[in-house]
Amino acid sequence: MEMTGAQVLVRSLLQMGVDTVFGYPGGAIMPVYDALFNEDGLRHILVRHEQGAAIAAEGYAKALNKVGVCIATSGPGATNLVTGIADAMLDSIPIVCITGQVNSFLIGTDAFQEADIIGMTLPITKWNYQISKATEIQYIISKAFHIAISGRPGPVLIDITKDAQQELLQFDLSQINVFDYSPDLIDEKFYFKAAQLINQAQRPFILAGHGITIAEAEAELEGFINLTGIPVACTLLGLSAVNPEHHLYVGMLGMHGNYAPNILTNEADLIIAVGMRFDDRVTGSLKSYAVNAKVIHIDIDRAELNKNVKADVPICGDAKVVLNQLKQHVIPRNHDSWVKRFKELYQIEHEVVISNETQKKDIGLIKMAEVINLLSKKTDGNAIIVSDVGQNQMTVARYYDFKNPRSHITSGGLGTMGYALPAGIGAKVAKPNTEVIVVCGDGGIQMNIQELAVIAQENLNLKIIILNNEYLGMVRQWQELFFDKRYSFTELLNPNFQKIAEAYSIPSLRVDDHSLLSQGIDQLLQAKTSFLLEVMVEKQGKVFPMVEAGSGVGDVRLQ
Amino acid sequence: MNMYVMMLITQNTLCMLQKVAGVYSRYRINIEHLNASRHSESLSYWNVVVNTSDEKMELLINQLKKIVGLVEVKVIDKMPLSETVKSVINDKF
Ligand SMILES: Cc1ncc(C[n+]2csc(CCOP(=O)(O)OP(=O)(O)O)c2C)c(N)n1
Ligand SMILES: [Mg+2]
Repeated sequence: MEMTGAQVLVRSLLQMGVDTVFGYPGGAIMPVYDALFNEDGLRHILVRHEQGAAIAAEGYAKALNKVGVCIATSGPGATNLVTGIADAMLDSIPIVCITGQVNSFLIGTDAFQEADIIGMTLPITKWNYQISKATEIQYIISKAFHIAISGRPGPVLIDITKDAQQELLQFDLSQINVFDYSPDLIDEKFYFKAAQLINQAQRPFILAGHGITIAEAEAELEGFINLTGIPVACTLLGLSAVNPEHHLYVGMLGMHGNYAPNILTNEADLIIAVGMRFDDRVTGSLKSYAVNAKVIHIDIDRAELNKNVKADVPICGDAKVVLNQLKQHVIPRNHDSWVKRFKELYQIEHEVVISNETQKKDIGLIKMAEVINLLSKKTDGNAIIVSDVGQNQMTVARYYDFKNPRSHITSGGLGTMGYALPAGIGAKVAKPNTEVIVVCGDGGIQMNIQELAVIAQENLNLKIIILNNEYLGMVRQWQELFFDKRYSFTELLNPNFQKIAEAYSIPSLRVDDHSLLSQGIDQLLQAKTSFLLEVMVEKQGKVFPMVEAGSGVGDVRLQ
Repeated sequence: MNMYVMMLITQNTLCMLQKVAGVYSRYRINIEHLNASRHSESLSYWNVVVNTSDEKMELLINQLKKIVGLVEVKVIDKMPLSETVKSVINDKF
């Protein structure tokens, strides 16, 4: 069958199982857009800025554990994707970005809308490639999807010249490229060594990261802790991998994580890190990290082993496979008195921080934690929460009890403000029958606020909560604590968010009093359409506990 | 600090030099000597000499291995770095 390169591209996407793409057209990608026209098998979602397309593809990918796809034109279209690509690289999200490029005979001439997007995205993609001949398209697209999803997932960018899109070729519909992937086999001796450490440890501690969710190893992890009786904490991206009601779940790690898991990292005699990479936001100063512990580190990416923390037993492998294997070698135990230490320290955190933050009061302004705590109760922890960056993000992570895998979506590694709205759109498109709630700061919502238009155009029943403290709150918190209260350019004079919502045909409500909060959340949850709830919260709110940048996890501050 | 002589085999494709060099520059390791040549129809053979530490070398190699199209990377020689060696390197290349 004779087709254009652009038609082959669309066929190839369909062959890869793609049913949704997020994109924005322009000159150098117009043949592809023409091939998308009236293509019933592919839903195209028109964003309002290419950053929104890349991030929506991430939200989609995270919600489904499937490759997300975005499309942009050359030059400014491609450069607008960059933040989303870097975000996907740091958080190991499988996305394939397709960019148009000027005609191959014009490359290097500073042609209109020419940008070297291959050069620009080299350090922030797992792989990138420029197609200049239509015959390459099908093979390269299958390779792109294979690379994006296998091993440690990540972003792939495919740049296609306009002439390759227009070239006519014979296309064989039945032809499919299959790539095999099998991670290296793991030597049995590692399991023996690891099991020996686990069976002997007095105070073992499991740190569960994003790798658990990526490997879909939630059940294996639960089986493993049930057998070994070892307490488990999650990283920010690991949240929702363990049911918070499990008696061995002890909370979140890291800078704004829980008190006990931070302090007790230094009392543990064995750390078992699974699918996490010892990010500096988790470890604080490495000099005073896990000082009494031997370390077993399990990760699919060999380059993460011994990168930040030396492992006594490094195991390079898929979390699901390794946990299953390891389970055969360990003996049933319980660590009741050690687990009790976590519960005792939790009580302290509860008294000093949590109860103050979450309890409803009659006077004073609403606190962020109060909102999230109430939201968690009213949704029974069953919604997908997509948070932005800053205090709102940390509050969601701390106070929402995620009951289902893959229900916490946030920008961890890059900390990309403006993430929540487009990622929420991606997640809602992926899971139309699940309640998806975007939680955003007054600063962050304005970074991709244009994407509100997508909600109306696509008729998405997406819920949005703006936690409005009229500040770049997290930066304000640092200024208060570490910069002598010099609030340099962090106060925001905001637009009227309700009017903005109205302009985009989104019903909205503003709440500024405790007595109206519960009702406001009910209204948001009961809405059959999209809904925006703006909650005015305390300006001076601070997120605690906190491990100050540069100090050790043992020095976590409660106030 | 040691001097390392590295051997790499990569696919012989566009951008490979950029991809490889990008990893060295990200780890702030200066390339003292570089020689890349065609090894076969589709492969390139590289020699790279750098001065760095064992720890950084391990990180570097792990990251190089993640480049799609890199077939092999090995340290084939390592010697402690003396001033004489340094001057020889500089003279020679
Ligand atoms: C794109 C981007 N620019 C700047 C920052 C630095 N930054 C981190 S948190 C924050 C404040 C966020 O303010 P807001 O969205 O109102 O959230 P809040 O902390 O008040 O909840 C800023 C500016 C960032 N993370 N991302
Ligand atoms: Mg704010």
